[in-house]
This record gives sequence, C-alpha cells and structure tokens, in this order.
Amino acid sequence: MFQCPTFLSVTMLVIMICTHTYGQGGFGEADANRDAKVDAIELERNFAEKLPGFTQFNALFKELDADKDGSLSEKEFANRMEAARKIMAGQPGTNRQPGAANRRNARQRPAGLKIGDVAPTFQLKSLDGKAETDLDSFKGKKPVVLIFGSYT
Amino acid sequence: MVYINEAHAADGRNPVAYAKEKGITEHDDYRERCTTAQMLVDDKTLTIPCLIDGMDNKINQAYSAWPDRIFLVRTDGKLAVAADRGPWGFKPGLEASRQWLKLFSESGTEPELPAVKKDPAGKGDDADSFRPGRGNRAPIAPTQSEKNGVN
Repeated sequence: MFQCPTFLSVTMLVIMICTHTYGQGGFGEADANRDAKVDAIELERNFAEKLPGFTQFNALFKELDADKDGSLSEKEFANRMEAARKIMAGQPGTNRQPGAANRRNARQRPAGLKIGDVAPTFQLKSLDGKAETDLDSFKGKKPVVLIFGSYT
Repeated sequence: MVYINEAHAADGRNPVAYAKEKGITEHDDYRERCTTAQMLVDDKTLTIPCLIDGMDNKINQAYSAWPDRIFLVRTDGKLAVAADRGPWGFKPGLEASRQWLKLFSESGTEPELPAVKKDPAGKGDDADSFRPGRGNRAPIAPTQSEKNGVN
C-alpha cells in the first residue's frame, strides 16, 4: 500500500538535494538559461548584484575562461571572487582596464616634449623581468637613444 | 627600445594583416605585452635592450610616444633629439640621432643644444604634428599694420 508521508518526504529530500547541489556557489543562480554554462552576459548580471561598482567584466571573463571556449563551466566560475579581487587590486598579470580604455589611455597627449626639455625619468623592467633600468643611471655617463614602438 | 601599446593590433581600430596572422591583439595584461615584445626581439633579432612600459602606459604618456617615437637624451638629462610622433617623424629622428652621435664620437663632447627660438606661428605643442591635415598649416602671415610696427 502506498504510504503518503514517506513518498512525500523522499520527494522533498530529492528536490532539496537537487537545488542545493545545483545552486551551490551561486553557479545555478548565475546560469539564468540553465545551459550549465555561464556566458559573459550572465556573469555581468550576476556580478552587478554581488559586487556593485565592479566594471571590468571583460578582464574578469578572460581571466576565468581558462579553456577559452567563450563560456564558464562551474569549475571556472568558482574562482570569480578571487579573480575579481585580483583585478581590483591591480596585481601584476591582471589587467586594470578593459581593452578600449587602455587604448585611449595610451594615446593621450600631454604637452609635447621639445629639444632642450628635461627627459621624464623612469624605471622600467627589461624583457626578462629581472633587471630594472633607471634612466637616471645614465646621467653623467652615456647619452641614451630611446626608441618607443611596438611590433605592429 | 621601450615597448608600448600596439600601433595596429588585430582587434584595434586600424589593424594590419600580419597582426591577425601573428595573433597580435591589444595587450590585456603585462604578460601579453612581454610576449609580443619577445616576438619582436626574436623575429627582428633585436640586439638593443628592450624595456617594457607598464600597463598604466605612464611612460608612453609622459613622452607622448604612441605609435612610435625617437628621442636622444644627453648625459645632462636634456633632450637632444625629440622627433615627431609616428612614421613621418621616425626616419628624420633616426638620422638626427645618427648625426648627433657621430659628432659626439668624433669630438668627444656633446653638441650644444640649439638656442630657444621664439615661436612665430604659435604652433606650440608638436604632439599632433604628424597627423595629416593638422599641425602642418602655414604660419599666419603678419598683417600690414603689424609689419609697420603698429599694434
């Protein structure tokens, strides 16, 4: 004979397990269309609630999408808070500004330098990241030719 | 060499074909900038030291250097050569640097800086001078009354 209370409690238990597992860590919450993947739009929506004021979604998505398949699996999604904190702190190896703002920033033109002006001093790392070169270190020793450029 | 932001990245406003082939995109982070710089050093077998500008583009901005620019810094810290930005200024800048260095190596002393000239056309900042159609206008001719010394 079918026992109502047992059936109900088993069903409720099953439902609770399913929602708990799927909703764990917010992945289920973020995955609005239930395709088991979080895309960039879903990430942005989810983050707008959790971390208002965070804007660097492009950088965050790129940081999280390890296999570069254009969407985040549950495993990739799990690292979002740590990655977001890294981006906000501007740690080396993470981008502080999305691509477009970085380009604009690079093209800003303050007052032009002319012959006779004092060359702005700087300390920059070499390609292997080991040595840091200070322009001032050449003062009184050698003239320096600076060639600014890029591959393209 | 100071490696800065790409001039014609594949995902930029004005990409070149080889940027797409080589996968050179706008630098997302310092690591990417270093990787692209290393590609340049390897492909063109650069022997000069290569420094990498930070992602804040601070040195790029301080020198108003994008897309490319040549400077020569004397031992007293002043600029002996400050070429115009971009491809138009690059070769003249290179030539000016060569001549300066030749004079320096022959005489053993640094050539004097030119005297500061007054700027009659009021062009001032040369930062935009490489752009076609801008900064290359003829100086404004003085009016007859100005020529006569009447203000």
